[in-house]
Amino acid sequence: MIIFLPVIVPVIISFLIFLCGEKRDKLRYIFLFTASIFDFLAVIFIMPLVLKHDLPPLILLHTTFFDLKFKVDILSLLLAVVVTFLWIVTNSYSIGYMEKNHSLRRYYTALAFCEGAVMGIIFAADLFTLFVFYELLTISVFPLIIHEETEEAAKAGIMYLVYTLSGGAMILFGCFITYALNNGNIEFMPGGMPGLAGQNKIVLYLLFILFTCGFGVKGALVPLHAWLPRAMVAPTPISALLHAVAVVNVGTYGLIRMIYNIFGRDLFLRLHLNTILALVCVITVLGAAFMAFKQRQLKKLLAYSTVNQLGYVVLGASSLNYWALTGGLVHIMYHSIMKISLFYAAGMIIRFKGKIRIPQLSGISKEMPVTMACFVIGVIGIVGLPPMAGWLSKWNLVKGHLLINEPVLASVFLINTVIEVGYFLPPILYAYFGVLDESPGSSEKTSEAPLNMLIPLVIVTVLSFTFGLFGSLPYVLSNKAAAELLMIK
Amino acid sequence: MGSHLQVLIPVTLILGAFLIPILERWFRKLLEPLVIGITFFCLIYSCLLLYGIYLSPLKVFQYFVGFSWNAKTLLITGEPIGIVLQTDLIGGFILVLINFISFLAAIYSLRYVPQNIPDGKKGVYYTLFLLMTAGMSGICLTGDIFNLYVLFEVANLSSYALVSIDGEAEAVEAAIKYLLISALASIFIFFGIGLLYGATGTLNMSYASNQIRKVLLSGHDTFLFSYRYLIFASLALFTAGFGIKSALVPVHGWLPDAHSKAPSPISAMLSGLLIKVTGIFLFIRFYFSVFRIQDGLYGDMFPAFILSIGAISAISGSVFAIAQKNLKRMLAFSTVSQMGYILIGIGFFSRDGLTGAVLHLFNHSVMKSALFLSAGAIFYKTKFTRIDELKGLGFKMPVTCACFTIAALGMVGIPPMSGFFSKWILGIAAIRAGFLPVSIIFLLGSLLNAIYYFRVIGKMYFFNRDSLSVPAPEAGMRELPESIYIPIAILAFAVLFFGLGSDILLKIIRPGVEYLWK
Repeated sequence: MIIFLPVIVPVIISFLIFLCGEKRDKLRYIFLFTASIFDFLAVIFIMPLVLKHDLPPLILLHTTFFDLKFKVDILSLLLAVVVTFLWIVTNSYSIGYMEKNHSLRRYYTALAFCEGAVMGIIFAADLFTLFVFYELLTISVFPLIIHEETEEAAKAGIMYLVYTLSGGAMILFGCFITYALNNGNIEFMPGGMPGLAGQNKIVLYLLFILFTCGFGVKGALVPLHAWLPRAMVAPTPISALLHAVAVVNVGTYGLIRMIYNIFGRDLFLRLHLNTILALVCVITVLGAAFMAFKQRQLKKLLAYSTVNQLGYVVLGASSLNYWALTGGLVHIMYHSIMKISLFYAAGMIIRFKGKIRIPQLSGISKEMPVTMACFVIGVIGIVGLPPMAGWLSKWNLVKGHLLINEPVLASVFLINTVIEVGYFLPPILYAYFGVLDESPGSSEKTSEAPLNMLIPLVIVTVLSFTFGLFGSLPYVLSNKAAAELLMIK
Repeated sequence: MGSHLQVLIPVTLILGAFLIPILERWFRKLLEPLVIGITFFCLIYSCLLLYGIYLSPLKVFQYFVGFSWNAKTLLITGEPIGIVLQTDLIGGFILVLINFISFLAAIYSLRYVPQNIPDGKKGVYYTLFLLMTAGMSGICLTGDIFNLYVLFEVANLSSYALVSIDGEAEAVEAAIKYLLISALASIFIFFGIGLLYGATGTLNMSYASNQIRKVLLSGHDTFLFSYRYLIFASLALFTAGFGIKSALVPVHGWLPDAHSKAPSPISAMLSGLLIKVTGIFLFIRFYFSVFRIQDGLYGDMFPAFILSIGAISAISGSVFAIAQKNLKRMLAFSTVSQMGYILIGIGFFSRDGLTGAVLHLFNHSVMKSALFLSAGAIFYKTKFTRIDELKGLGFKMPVTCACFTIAALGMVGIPPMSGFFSKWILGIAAIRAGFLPVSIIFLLGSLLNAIYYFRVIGKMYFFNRDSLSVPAPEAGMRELPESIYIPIAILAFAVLFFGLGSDILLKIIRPGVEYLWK
């Protein structure tokens, strides 16, 4: 039952938040933190059990047509740790950011509900359970995207729905095909589903396309990424948590499950699917990098950078190599932490200075020195320079690809580093060397954001720094997860 | 085994229907309490009956009307002379559904009817309402084909009158169109019954079923004439008749008019119950209990034909719905497409397919009733009927719009709403029956559903609050009277509950489906 609690507690609490109404702020925040802290503690509690393979799967509902089944392996654990931790931090940030905003009841209800849905996806033991929570997440993110209730938000929301619901339909059809091929068993298997091995190649390719497109929508693979930059119209905590961490990671998580637990390593290799997926990832990485150059809005720049970095993770997963997979998995965690710090910083600038476009950032470092310092540290991490966390994952990715004799793929990471430096330079240059404009309200004095927003930013920045310096928990977890997925003892 | 409840339910409803004109003349205040009371007791009775059938060893109740059931041995041919009420689990299940929805519709009518129907017609309205419920309940209970036809006509005739009850020209036109096309269906069915009687010499379903089996297996064909062709002809006539009644494309034309012009509680009853009981349920009854197509005596072409009709309805119904501007018309076209899904489930002629079909029948009934009742609530409050006019309504009528959204998500098939689970089961049934490509229909249908339902939801919630077309509500006024939003809320809750709770329904449906294979 301990597996199910992190899923159901946020869902129940989201109903409580809904009942709190629009006015009772304190009670609502207590509920919000209860849910996220409970989830984090629960994940920490099951961590040793999972590492010892001591946690039996939980069958919540069993019928002749579907099971609702949960199981935690190390991959789920890895994702659960980062998501639940960042959820707590973001809750704090969110309270500061959304202060005096409208429709807070709807906002926080959906936010708490999303955590339950994400945990459901991560802990799902079979495709059916995963799909149920996947669609729940799709729907519960929607009110957050359209929160501003502007015409632009409505358009972004509709675009998001079109993309994700079509993706969901593709996954559903993939589920049906898997069900047919694997004799009615759609549970994730270590080493892939046995029924798929001897099947018709064309059907398997179709299955691959369905799952790649389905999960690729949330995982923002180019050319299915277009909804993500548009969804940046949402409030920044949402862009930070959902569109840089939870939702997109769930997409890549689905892709990893597809590679290792549905097709299995051997079948994937035999059908040359790894080459196809790697090609898609290269297009994603480089395409997003070039598109990022054109961006004039800070949040959209960050969105394209997210698309870019998610390509790393999937590229690492599609390599089927231990080191590259470790790099990809650890990059899930490191990227989440680093990207969320960038979004936090961007959000503060937007919320308190009202500056959305990059040229407007002129001289902002004098006003918000701490925020901008964190931003710069985050950028160094994302770009992948030592001693930041991003360096560690990128090093593993390059190493893995060199070991499997793919120097071209390895060089993609290096080329991308250069491009990233290119597109992250303008905001930093403007911030530090630009002249502060003389518009009313801006001054030379430092005016940082309130502490409940600044502390989360500092925490994630410090974390991204320490994880880079010390071979830490994420790295150990990713090593174990990679070994488990590849079935190396 | 039998139970007096089998007779009691339709008789109570019919007696109520005849009491109402008297009450209207002398005791007007008792009118509504009587209707609520009767529908409530029938709901309780039908639940008890279903429970009894569920517990009985044979999973069926037989009740011999008009003669002692010890005396049935006296008969020459070995078949009962009188009417046999034979209710299996599927029939009982649909019976509960009928009485559940009609109970909620009766509550809803309390405040809706005085506002939207001329005052003098209240008695007529409730009389017809109860008669329609009685007819539908009877259809689920009976085991005699002619009895079934009589009850079928009772339900249909009441529905024609109910569609045109508010006396507006459009409604009357819709009712006449509905009546003409439905009459055609009645003729087909009546002729089919005649042919069936000619071929088998009986109108008792289980005896007819045995006779049909004998005829089909015997192979004694003469040069000029064969009973076999009679049976095929009657099967074709039944298919055409029930096809019209369940509004499958291309014979759906009467449905959008009739269902959108009727008063909303009646729309909910028509879309949620009538076309299912007089269409889909009779498909199940005749295909599985009488003709026993599941035994495979009719070749492979017949299931393929049914599947393709279902697929055409499922897709084209949704496509038509996208083009609609009127909310209730859109909902009506959506019904056409959902009938297609259910027919696909039947068309597999497998246990899983039928389970999925019955479950989807239930779920769709609940969802569509919720949607029509919500549309009615919107009309009650604002007189809006067009989709464009709903801008920003979610902020003015939060409960109604939330319920509408829940039910609409169910129609699209988003988990954890109940609609998703029945679609999943239909998809699994397609795979187990070896029709994997058919499952694409469900996905495509879901996406098409998403287009038109999200358009409405989008209008309701996500527009600039300053440019609302809804006048601001007066201070201190409630959104709606309780009797209008409580039925909607109950239905919306059922949509949520029977998602993951569909296990409970499957426990009833599975043995019921197994019974049909015996």
